[in-house]
Formats: sequence, C-alpha cells, structure tokens
Amino acid sequence: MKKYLLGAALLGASLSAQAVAPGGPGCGWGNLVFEGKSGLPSHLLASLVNGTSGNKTFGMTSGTNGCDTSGTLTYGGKSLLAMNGMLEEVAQDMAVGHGDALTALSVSMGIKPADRSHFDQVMHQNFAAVFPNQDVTAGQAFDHINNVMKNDKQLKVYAS
Amino acid sequence: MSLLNVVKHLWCWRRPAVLVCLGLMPPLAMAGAGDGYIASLQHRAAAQRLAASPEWQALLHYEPNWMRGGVHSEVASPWFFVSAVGKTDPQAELDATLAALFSADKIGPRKKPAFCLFVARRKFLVSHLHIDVSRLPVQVCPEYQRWLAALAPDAVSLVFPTAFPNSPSSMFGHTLLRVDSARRRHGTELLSYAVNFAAAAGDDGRGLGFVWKGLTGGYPGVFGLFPYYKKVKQYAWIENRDVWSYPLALSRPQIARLIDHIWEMDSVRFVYYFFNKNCSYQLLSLLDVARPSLHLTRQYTWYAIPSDTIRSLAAVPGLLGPAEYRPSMQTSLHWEASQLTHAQLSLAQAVANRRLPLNAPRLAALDGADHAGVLEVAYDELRYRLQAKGAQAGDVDEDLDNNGDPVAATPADTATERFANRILLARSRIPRRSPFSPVPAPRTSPEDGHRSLRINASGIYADGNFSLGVRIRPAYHDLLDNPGGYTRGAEINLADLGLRLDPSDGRVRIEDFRLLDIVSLSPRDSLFKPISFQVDTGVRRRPSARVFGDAPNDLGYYLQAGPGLAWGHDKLTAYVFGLGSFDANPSLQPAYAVGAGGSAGLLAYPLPGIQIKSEVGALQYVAGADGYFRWAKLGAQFPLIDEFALRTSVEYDQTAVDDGVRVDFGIQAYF
Repeated sequence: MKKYLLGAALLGASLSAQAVAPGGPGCGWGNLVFEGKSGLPSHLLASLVNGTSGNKTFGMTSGTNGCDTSGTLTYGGKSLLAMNGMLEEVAQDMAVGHGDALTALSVSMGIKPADRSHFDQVMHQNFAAVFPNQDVTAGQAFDHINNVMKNDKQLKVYAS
Repeated sequence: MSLLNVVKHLWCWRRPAVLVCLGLMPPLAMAGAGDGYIASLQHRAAAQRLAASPEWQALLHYEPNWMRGGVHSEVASPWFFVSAVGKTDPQAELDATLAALFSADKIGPRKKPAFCLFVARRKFLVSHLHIDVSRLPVQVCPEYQRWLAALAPDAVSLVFPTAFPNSPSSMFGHTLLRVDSARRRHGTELLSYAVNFAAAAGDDGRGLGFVWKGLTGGYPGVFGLFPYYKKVKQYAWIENRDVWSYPLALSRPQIARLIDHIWEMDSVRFVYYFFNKNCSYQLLSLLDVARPSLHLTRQYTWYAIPSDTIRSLAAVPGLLGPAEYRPSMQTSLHWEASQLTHAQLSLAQAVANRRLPLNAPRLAALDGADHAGVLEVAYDELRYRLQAKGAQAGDVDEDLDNNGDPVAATPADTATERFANRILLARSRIPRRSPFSPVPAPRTSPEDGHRSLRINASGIYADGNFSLGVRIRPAYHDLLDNPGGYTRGAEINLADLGLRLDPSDGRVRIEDFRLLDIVSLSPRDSLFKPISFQVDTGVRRRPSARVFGDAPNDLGYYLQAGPGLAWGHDKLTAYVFGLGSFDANPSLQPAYAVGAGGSAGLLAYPLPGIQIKSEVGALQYVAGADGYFRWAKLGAQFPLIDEFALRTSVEYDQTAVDDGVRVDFGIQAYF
C-alpha cells in the first residue's frame, strides 16, 4: 500500500517510468468526472463507463487522457485522499492547521463553509489520531478522519 | 452537391491503408425519410454562408492554407470529419454533418452518434438553422449530460506554469486551462479540472529522438482533462515552478460552447509541433471556439511561445482578469526561511538533518510561533531535499503528462519518512496557525514582461573602423533583458542572428548565428545547493571584432557547455562555470579544436530595467588545433519607453593569432 509520506519524492523518481507506460485500463472522458459522496459509487460508475471508451488502443502516455493509475477520478472525499499522493499535502496542512489541501478535503467531504474552520481545528488537534505513523494509507486515514468526526458534535453529521 | 455525394461523404472515412465504407443501404433508407428536410437545411446553411463563419471554422479547427487558397483542418483523426473531404472542405463537412444528425449510426472510436459526438457543432447548426430536433433519431446524450453535470463548469482560467529551463520541452513554460466548478470551488482551486494539450510520446519519451520527433511532428498531440491538483502537484510541488493563473472573462454561452467542444476533443489527435502547434497554440484554438471573433490562432503561424500567447490574450480588452500567483514549494521555503532569524534557521536545519532531537530544550525554549516556524521549515526542507533527490533520478518532461505511482522505498527513505512524520506530530502539538505570511507575488507578472522577438540595431566601433550591426532574435530572453515576468537567472536565446554592414563599401556579413544558448543561474545558499549550467551552440567568428579584416576569420561551428555555481540574490549574482568546447573552423589548423576552460562573471540588476553583466573566460585548446580563446566583456541595458531599450557593450577577444576590441552601442525593440 502507498504510504502517505514523501510519496511525492518517489513520484518524481517514477515520472520517467510512467512516461513509458501505455494508457491505463479504460481511459477517456467517460470516466473523468463522476462525483460520489464517499467515492465508492462513483468508482463503480466510472468503471462501467470505462467499457464504452475506445481509446485504450492509442497507447498514449497514461496521463494524457486523465487516466488515474487507480482507474478512477472522482472528487469524493476518500478517493481524493487515495489519488496519488494528495495525502501528503493533507497531512502537512493538518499538522499546521490549515491550507489548500485540507480545504480541498473538507469541500470534497461535503463539509459546509460554516463548519470548515472548525473541521481544520479539530483535525489539527487530532493529527496524531489520523496520522499516527508514516505507514498510514489513504483508506486508514479516511477511517481515522471519520472516527474523529464521529466524536465531534459539530462534525458528526458528516461522518459516514 | 447531390444527396448521394453527401451520403457518401457521411459514410466513408479513411483508415490507414483502407477506405472503409459502411453499407449504403440503411442510410439511404433513412435519408429517404428526411431527405427533403435535410436538403432544405443544407440550402439554408449555404444561403447563410455558415460554413465560412468563424464559428464553424473554429469548431473544425480550419486554418488558411499557406500561399495558396483554401483551408485545412489541423485535426489529424479522420473520424473527426463526417465527410471524406471534410478536412479541407468546410462546406462539404457542414452538409455531411447536417445529414449525419439524421442518423443514429455510431461514429469513430468513441462509438457515438453524430448528435452526441459533435455536441458543439450540433448546437451551432441547430441554433442557426432552427432545426426541428423532434425529427432527429437521437435526441438525448445521457453520457454527455452526466459528464457536464459532474463538471458543472462555472468559470475558466488560463494557467501558466513558468519556464523550467532544466527540461528542453518546458524551457519556455506551458499553458493550460482550468475549469472551476460551481459546486466545488469554495475557496480552493485544487478541486477544479485542468484542460491540457500535450504530445503523446508513448514509450520513447526521452533523449534526442524525443526532441527531434517533438520538433518535427513525430508525435500526435491530444487534449487531456485532469484533476487540477495533479497539475499543481507536478508544477509547484515537484518541478518547483511558480504557477500563474488568469481568470478569463467569458460569458455563460461562451463557457458552455468551450466545454461542449472539449467534449468533442476526447480522443481527437492533432499533429504536435513543439514550436508552433504546441500547448499554447491549441489552447488558443479552444478560446477561438469560445469567442470566434478573436481569431487567436492566426496570430501564431510560425511559433507560439506560452508567455507571448498570454500577452496576446492580455491585449484583448477585458479578457484576462488579474493574475493570481501560486508559489512553488521552493519559493515558499525561501520565503519562510527569510522570515526566521539566523539562529532559528540553523535550528530548523539541525532538525532537518537530524542533528537536533525534536524534544531538545533549545526547541522547547522557543515561543509557540517561533517553534512552529522552525518545525515547518525543517519539514519543508526535508521534503524538498528528498524531492530533489527523486527528481534527479528521473528527469521530468513537460508536455508529456504523467501520473506517478510511488515506487518501493529504500530503508533510508523509510527512516526519513518516520522522522518526517514525527516532525509533523510535533508541529501539530503547537496549537497555533502557521506564523508565516503568504508569499508575495513578484512585482511583474508574466503578461507584463517584454515580448520575446527582439531586434537590435547598433553602431559598432572595432578594429579602428565603424560599422553597423543588426541582430534578430526570435526568442526568448537573455540575462541583460529586463527580467520582470521571466524566470530569474534563466537565459534562452534561440536562432539569434547577427549581421554586420561595412558602411564604406556596403559589404554585409554574417557575424554570428547562435542557434541555441541556454544559461541557468541558480544561486546557492544555506538551504539550496543547486548546480547552474550553460549550453551555447551555433556559428561565430573569433575574435568577433574582426568581421571585415583581411586576417582569416571564417565563420565556424562552435559548441560550448558546462556546469557552474552561482551565489547571490535578485540584485547581484556572481557565478563561475567550468567549460568544455568544440570548434570546427577552416581558420584553424587542423580545422577543429577541442577546448577546456572556464568563465566567471557578475550580474547586477541595480534598478528596475537596468541590467549589467561582466564576464571573463578562457578556453585552452587541448586537442586538434593548438591555441586558445579568451574573452572579457562588459554589457549593460537601460530602459527607454515601452518595448524599447538601449544596450551597450565593450568586449575584448583574443586567440593565439589575433585579438581585437569592440564597442557596441545600440537600440533594441521587442515585438
């Protein structure tokens, strides 16, 4: 599983390798932009649509048509974390208490504007619970965030 | 045009070697039902001259043929044209498209009927010809509707990641579009989408072959749609490029047309040429669809440099909103470090280097804000350093787009990760916001920088004689040009031609031609230890003072390059380079020389618009001809009005057989 930390450092190293990879399974506009509440339904939707998209024969670079290596591109909260290394930026923002990536996370999780600064603050206070070590995966981080929200009376409405 | 012809156009398209014609019977049967109506629509379209309208020309990417009449489309995918002659015949394509709307047959690799495949084209025809949609066999496109609903386009911005001199394909920068969603923006652009045009280099995306194919049309170019955060990550967080963005003042119908056309662009291939049919050019072609009256692409026949295209857009009244600036990670780290005291920066570095434990009393003694600042800089430095290490392992190509997947970590990386996590844990225990103010945007944004085509006329005193000089440099920026709006310390001269005229007898000679000259000065400090570099190749004379003299001084090929070190700041930079050289010149005996040497210089930017550079250097020939080449040069530029400037220089050149001094004084203009 991907570790949350320093994925970007390794990402840099792997760019060249990715440049040679042909298009991932099922790339195309069809699977680009399906939103889901927690990501999962949209995964299914995207993979359904994949079947109708014909340009996998092009052999183009995997990124060119917006194909994520995981084959999904949604902005639901969980998959936002899972998508290639955003986790690291989220962790950094959480440790500091605010930032672009943390805002993106709260927006994608459907947290209302009025609750976002509270979300930032709660996540800052609970950094140790969300990212207890460097091996936290996206799925674990998502579960940890969910647990923290469940224990907060203002945020528990957003927990799944 | 007969109906049969139209139908033939409609049902045939070329594939690499074979002409594929689908059965003629079903369409004929269907056409039988509506052929009178189709013909009347075609008649109406011809009367309105719709095929010649800017809208239709932009939607099909038609451009005028060079030197002969007519047009051709820049789209390379045959299925993009419903008519077999649609690539060069807008009228036939329009007639065939009208007929195709009356068919449910699926077209091309996307396997959709014309109604759902060519959405922007269809809407254009429906609205201008008042087509009765109820008579069409296909009237809904659920997939397109779902796509559009998810995208929920609300605003579009032009995005400009600044130049990245370390990669040949991104040395001039890059442009892309960002589509902000009505539902997602909410204080962060990271959840927007990026529309990007790039060469699809497949599996040979590196080396000289890559450069050559990129220059000569060896790759297809395709549009891509990405989560915008991926682009931010690539540019600002990995490649350390500042990113500018400009909101585009497009009306709702213009945005809708643009987005519909982006839907049409899925899987469509163009031919990619690095200099003219590149990312910036094709983005202009999208904006031409949004606002056909702009005719943006026609301003860029020969080459399209990203920053020049931004200046063209800025010249359209009201089109570009105020520039927004996103600093790269390196810029942010610099800015943060500059807000720490010297002692605090030392502490941060000690933490990053793991010379100071996180529970050290010296850290605990800091007040909350300082403690937070030290830990944040320590983490950023650690992260930056690891990233630089990763980036060295595999260099990054611009117009090639990649998704990264982390590769297996080494044990050393694992230890570093554990430590980085501990820094974040320690930081999260300090209950306060980051003490650092946001990074201020540079005073000059890219659209306010000088234009890149430069023409210089000068008087030259050399060798006891007076002569006239003219220089023409198509692109892009040198260290004596006004640095405002450009990447600091990055010089790129391309195809810079110098001519000399002897006024006494009217002789004109080529003085030199600098095919490519790149200098990248990256100052070193306590945080960053970058290596500078330069590459310079073309033809020239040595010494350059003796253009008209009797002594043999032929034009000869030269290549010189080497790594260097630089120190300093925005106003004063000092540098040294180690250089290797190769010369091929009939004046040499034998006619080539391999040299080794170095150079050193000072670059000063004392006041806005005033740039001064001094340099000395020497190359000792170590193989081939005996001899050496040495030089000393002082140059300066002073601003005049607008796109004009004065440039002057004094130069002394010396070879083993000759030497000469020249003084140049000239005026130059940027276009």
